[in-house]
Amino acid sequence: MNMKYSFILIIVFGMLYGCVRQKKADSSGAESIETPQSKTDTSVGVEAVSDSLQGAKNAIYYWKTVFRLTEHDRQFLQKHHIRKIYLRMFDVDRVENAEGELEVIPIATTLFQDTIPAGIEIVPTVYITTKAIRHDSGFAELMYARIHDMLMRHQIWNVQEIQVDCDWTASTRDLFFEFCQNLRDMLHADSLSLSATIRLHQLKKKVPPVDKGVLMLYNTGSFYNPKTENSILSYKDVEAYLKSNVTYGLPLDFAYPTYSWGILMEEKNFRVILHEVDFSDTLRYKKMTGGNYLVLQEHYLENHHIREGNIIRLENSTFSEIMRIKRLIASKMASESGNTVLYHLDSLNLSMFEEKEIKQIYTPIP
Amino acid sequence: MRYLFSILIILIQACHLSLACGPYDRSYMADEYFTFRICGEDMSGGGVRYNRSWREDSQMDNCRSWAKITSTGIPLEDIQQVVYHWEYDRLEKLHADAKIGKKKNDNAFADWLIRKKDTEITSFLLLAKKCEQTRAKQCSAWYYPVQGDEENTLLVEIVEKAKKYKGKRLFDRYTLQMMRALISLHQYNECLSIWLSRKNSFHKDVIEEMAKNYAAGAYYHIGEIAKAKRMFTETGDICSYVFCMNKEGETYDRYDMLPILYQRDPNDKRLFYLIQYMIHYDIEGYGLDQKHLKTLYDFTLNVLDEGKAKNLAGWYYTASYLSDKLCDTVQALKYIQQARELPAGQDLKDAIRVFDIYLKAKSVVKYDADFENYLYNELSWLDQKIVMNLDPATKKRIIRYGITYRNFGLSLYYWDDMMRKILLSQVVPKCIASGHQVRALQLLNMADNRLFNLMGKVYDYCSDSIRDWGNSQRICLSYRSRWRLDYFPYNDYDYGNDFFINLDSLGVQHIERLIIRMRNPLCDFDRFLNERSYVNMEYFYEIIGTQLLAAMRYEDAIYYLSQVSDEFMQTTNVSLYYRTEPKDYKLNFAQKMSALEQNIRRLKNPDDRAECMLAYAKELQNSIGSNWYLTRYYSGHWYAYPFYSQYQTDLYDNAVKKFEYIKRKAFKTFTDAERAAKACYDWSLYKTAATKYPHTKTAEYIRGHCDILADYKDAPNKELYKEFKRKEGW
Repeated sequence: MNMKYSFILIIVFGMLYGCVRQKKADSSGAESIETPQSKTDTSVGVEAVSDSLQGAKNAIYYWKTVFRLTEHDRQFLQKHHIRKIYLRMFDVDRVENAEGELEVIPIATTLFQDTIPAGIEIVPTVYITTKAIRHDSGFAELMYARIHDMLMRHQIWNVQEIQVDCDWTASTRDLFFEFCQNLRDMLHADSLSLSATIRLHQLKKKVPPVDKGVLMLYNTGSFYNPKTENSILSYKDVEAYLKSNVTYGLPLDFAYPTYSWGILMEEKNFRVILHEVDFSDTLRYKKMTGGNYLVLQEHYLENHHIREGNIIRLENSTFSEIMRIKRLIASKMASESGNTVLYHLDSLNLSMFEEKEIKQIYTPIP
Repeated sequence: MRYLFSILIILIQACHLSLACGPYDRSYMADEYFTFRICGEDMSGGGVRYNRSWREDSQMDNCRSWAKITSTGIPLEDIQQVVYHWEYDRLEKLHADAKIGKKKNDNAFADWLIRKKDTEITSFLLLAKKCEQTRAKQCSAWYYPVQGDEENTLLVEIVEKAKKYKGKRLFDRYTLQMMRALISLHQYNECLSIWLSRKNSFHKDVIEEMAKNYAAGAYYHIGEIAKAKRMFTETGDICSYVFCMNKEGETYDRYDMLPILYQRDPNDKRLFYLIQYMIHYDIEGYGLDQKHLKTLYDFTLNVLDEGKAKNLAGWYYTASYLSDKLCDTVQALKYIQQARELPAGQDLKDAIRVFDIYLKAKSVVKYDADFENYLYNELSWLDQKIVMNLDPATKKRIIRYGITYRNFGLSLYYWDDMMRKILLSQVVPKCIASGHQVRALQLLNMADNRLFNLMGKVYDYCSDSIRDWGNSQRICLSYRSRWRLDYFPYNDYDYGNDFFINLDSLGVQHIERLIIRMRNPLCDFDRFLNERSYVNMEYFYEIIGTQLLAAMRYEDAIYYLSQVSDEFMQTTNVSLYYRTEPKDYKLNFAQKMSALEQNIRRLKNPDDRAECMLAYAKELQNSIGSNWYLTRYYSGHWYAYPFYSQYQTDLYDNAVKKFEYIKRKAFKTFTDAERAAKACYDWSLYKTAATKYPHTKTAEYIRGHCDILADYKDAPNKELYKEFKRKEGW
């Protein structure tokens, strides 16, 4: 009897869920509907559509050079029903190879010291510098083969998508797009999809030939500028790009920052980003206005000489600012999928947020 | 005073601009040319970094070994081609042909294998090539090792296949491939087991040494580093030896290889290769590294002290070179003298003689007749070398980098480089200091133009190709010059080399004497230098004319410039600045200024004379200002200008002084207030016109427009002036 009711309940829920998702898809604007339609001929297109029908997937970036999850990380993933990790595999840059010649090669490959928790989809992500793409955009096959080998070696099976992260501009756009086109063709042949990070300045530009995008709502300001109050996240900076409603030609997910850092300034000039400043140490730092801290004593930190009189600007991503931007996004951007992705999985930074705040960030705004 | 200040401001800006507008500077100073040449034509000591054997040429030794088991009648180069350079596809075809045994092949080794149907060897070559290809893939930065991946699978197959070989002929070679594959598979224990079980079956040759290196590598990986190091020194793989030392925390570099090599064999040829490499890259290439320089010098002196080495000429030459680098030219001369007296191969003898000339030129205090006799003799010898060694490959390089791109100063060819280095860096400065400016210019002419004369080629910008000069005058136009100013070519070589820099800075009287000497040589050395120089008289006349314009000697300038054709004027580096309508070539300017000078002298009416003087002053001002290309070849001061010369600065200063003087004098000469006021207006002296000549129409106009004709305006508003003329009916 119980079984019977449960079964009926599941069917009812399933129908309700389907209706809601369908309705959302209908209201997502003509352009965003067109994109999946144009891919219905391929298996990936079908997958992308079905993916969007499965409901929101909480996701997070993992952006360290060593993949090793702490207990806190594992609990976080579980507690917040994270179903997708965008995992940085390596960067591609133009650097000196073993023979001392400049070559476009993978660097800073992530070292795997842990296994992926069950049930989590991994999106292998590669950061590509513009220096690399400018000199050689023909490494798609090599890159894909390497990702494939890394996945095989570390037995990462739950993969449906690969993501590329590149701060392309007008001068590198065509090369990057050509690279994406090649990579996407290869991925489609293997029933995988390609996504790309989209920076705010890229929103009004031509859409890259990928299946979906993640809008980066972090690093919105310039940390080189001493007048910048918060280069990580600023409503003012984001709003400038969203003056009117934006309809982007790709299904988009949205990535919000959950990190903080200290910007070390010397005589109003940017010196370095610091990650381990203990601002509670009043012997070393004195709080000033606008999130600035004055260095009282010279010392060494993270291999950098911090001099007396230097200013460290504490920048962080506050819950209230994230929510303001989330609301702005909801009002200005109609998105078909619109999953929330956090940047990035780091227990120290995430501990600055309350559990309910994280939940709220992940909760879609109706 | 205010105007002087304005001029100063303009001058300062012009100096800044000159950095962007000036001619291209030389890519290299002659003193920077690589000089040390103890082995190898490219002087790089190339190959030594990858040489992992005591053998001089392991590759050829391996080919000899192949010849032994096939036929000693096969040229080694053919074996080398097949074994080292043929790709897998080609080897596959060779294997197929060898199976049939019919097809003829141009390569003697391949042909032999086909004729003999030697598929035993062709199958091995296929396996070895596959092994090499797979290992290369693994060495790629993109490779990520996965158990059971294609590369690993292939390597495992190679091991299995090699193991199955039961023949004798290629047993050692199969073993070597097996060991290579096992190292790549990180199976060090298996690799060592194979080595231990088979090492006695190796012939005592290059293959055994190669295998031993892999065994040493395996020992290193399993932690038996002492054993590995010992084996590396036995085989001569010093690079790996140093690698082991570094891994053990010792700071060993290639300088530490020298004593290791020397202790084993004081006559090891790699010693000179290494020294050549170090001097080429560390000392000549990337600036002086004092620590390494001293290390190398001490090592060289030690070799000479011990007297165990045979090639003493080479060691004395090295000691001389290093001594000079350590600023002890006296000692360097002593060593080079000893080197000259010792037996040596011809190449080394030549290198020693070149360095001897350099040192003698460096140490001579004064350029005098004795030194000139010596120089003439040595320069003749160097010139012969330049001619004799100009092979097709060198010619090709000179055409590409020296003629097409006109990348002057670039090292193009050892013998020419050395001639330039000796003359430009040592002889010419002394020659000038000793007061022999004309001789200095002759030497510079040869240094910069000998090679191009010898090549007899010119870049034809119309067809974008290289052609012979034939009977036409040599005019240097380059592809490189097309980078600027709307892709029109212009001559940046003849106006940017050392010869030009000195023509432009020594004084016009020396160029005048130079051309007389070129026409009427006084001695054999004059004739020798003339024959190797740029002798297009239009080039010299044009430069003399220009300097005379800058010196305000317009009558004299007309004499020279009237002998320069319009066609030649189009090929100077400033030709693009000339206006064609109205034509403002230098000759036109000289004639205009000369006529104005005559008018100033001739006119009796003071107002007419004053106006003529102002016209003269304006033209003069323009010739050193906006129309600077009439009096020089670059705007402002050129940063490559020789430190010892004030010549161009003086010419400029004198022109500024004269312009100021004439202008002042002209205004004092006026007697007609209206004409004086109009002249003030033309020169933007609004306030002066309004106050000094208050009752003139001009003053009245200025007062009526004082809001816009402020006295502080830099230049008169021409448009307004036109309008003014129209309205007032002037």
